[in-house]
Amino acid sequence: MMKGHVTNKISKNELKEMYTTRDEVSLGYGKYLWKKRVFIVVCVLASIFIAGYAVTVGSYPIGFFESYQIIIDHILGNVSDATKDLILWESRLPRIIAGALVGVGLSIAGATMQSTMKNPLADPYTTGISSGASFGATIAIILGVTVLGSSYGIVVNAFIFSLIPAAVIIVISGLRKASPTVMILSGIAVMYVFNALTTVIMLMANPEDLAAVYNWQVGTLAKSKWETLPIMAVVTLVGSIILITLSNKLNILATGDESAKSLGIDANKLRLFCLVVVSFLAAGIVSFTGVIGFVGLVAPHIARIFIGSDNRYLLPASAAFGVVLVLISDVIGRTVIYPAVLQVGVVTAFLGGPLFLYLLIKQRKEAW
Amino acid sequence: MEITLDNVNFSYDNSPVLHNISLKLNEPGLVCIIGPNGVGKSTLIKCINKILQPDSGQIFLNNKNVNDMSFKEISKIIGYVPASSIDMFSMTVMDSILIGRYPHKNWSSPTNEDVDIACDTMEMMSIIHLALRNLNELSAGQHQRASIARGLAQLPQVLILDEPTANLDVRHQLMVTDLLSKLSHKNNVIVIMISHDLNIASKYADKIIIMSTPGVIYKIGTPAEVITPETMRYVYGVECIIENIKGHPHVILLDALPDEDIRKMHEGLE
Repeated sequence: MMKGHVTNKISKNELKEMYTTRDEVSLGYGKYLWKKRVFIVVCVLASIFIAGYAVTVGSYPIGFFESYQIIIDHILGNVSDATKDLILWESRLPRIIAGALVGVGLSIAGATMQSTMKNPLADPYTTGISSGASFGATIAIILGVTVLGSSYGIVVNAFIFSLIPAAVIIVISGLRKASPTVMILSGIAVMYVFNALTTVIMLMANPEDLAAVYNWQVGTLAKSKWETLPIMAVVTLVGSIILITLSNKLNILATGDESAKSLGIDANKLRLFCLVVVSFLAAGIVSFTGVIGFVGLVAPHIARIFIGSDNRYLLPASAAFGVVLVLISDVIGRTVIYPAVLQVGVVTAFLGGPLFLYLLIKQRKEAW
Repeated sequence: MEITLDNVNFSYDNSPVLHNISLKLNEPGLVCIIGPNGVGKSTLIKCINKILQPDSGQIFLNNKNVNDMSFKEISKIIGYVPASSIDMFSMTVMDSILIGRYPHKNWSSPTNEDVDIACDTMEMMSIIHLALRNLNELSAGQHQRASIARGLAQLPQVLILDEPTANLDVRHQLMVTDLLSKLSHKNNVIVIMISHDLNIASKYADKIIIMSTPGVIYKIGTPAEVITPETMRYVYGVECIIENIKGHPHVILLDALPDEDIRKMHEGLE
């Protein structure tokens, strides 16, 4: 009697779940993978659409169709309005391409760090990359000390110093072991040292230099130039492709070091290799744009809410979503308090933070 | 398949755990490792598949030294199910089990054959209805069965499990151990599992390895040879009665001996 009563209370969905056959499972799994692919395609299309829109937006009034006409004219060599051509070709286009590279690179680096460190708070800067880069840029701006005395002194300084924390972590990991805890704590220790050094130098700086350092530390796409984009693009694309090809191994690493070893992965070696790739990737971006925060932390988490933690899909999805987030933020930053411009890193936090909180509250499946 | 351990010693930061362990396993079947907490059961099984490196001694898989084998090579032979795992970023049960197919693949994504194998192992573990659920939405027992399914999906020649029945209800403890026993004979697999349930080990194991302090193998044999009142008293420090139920020794626990008595017993025998 009691049994019958309980059975009557079970809903149709629960019954379906209880009697799922392997054919239904195979079909359901196919649909589940299909949804992930659709999310990636939607994000890629959205990023292309936003990039297309961003070209037409700015402080100088150029119409939507006019913008594309100017681009076509430039390609065909029929420049009619030199000012508008200059704004589109030398300001907006490099800025949008740099924004896309930032979105791709930092998001993939962040997703990789979160997986390899098994830590949801990890991001591309967890190992102290931003502090090293800031120190390098600060001594270039304030003290004029550069590793290479070229016009790209700040960029080269930032790049070289951003790799120092990773080098320290690799040495310490070799002495102890390359566990996530050792690596994160080593990174934090190095970060504090670099931050302290940066603060000491800033105390000696004049107001103009301080403003320059501050601008650099917030991160901006405004300084993007065609000359530097190829380097940034190569570093971002090579690093991202390497990490995406490792995504299957990252899934295994995320099951724990012992499981990973038993499945044929040398966990410590893979973690160190990922650290090196992430460091070069993040350094290659940060040294050109300054420290653009938040994207690398939050884009992977938002993608994870939609498609789960399988890195084979998460890395491309994070990249596509990262581009959407950075480009929308940049468009808003350029227009919201016009004629002044809000730094892209500030807007990503304003935009991504509430969106992330909303999704956290609304999510039905547990992503963490 | 043959597993040989020759005078294996292991210590954690100068604290010795395993002492001169020598062992040969060359017949398919269920081998249960039993013994009190801290005698090195988990350490021993982790040395077999190179998760841990012994301080001295040699371990061979089919006469090949594991030190000369890559993790990938070993993973094609040995499947391993850890005692517990915490997944920070949860995957679905299906994705998690498909990871078990990695040792047999290089770059390609899971094929239909892999999905079929994953479905087989989920059916064995009675979790196919959970295939598309996230791991961290499962109970501890369901999670445990998903971990075992992943180990089975590796289609290993040797399957090592660290307390696979720890989180399971009594019915599933019996079902899972029975399945592992049958699987070992049907597919010629050496299944090595750590268990704290002496009666389940006694009922299903072909061979029992009982370890005692200080990290040594006290006895190896059939359940009837190993599960005796004397062994239980010396190794566990408990008084018990052993009854024969359906041809298997069954332990009925009586009292725990005081520490002092255990110390004297060990000193006396040494």
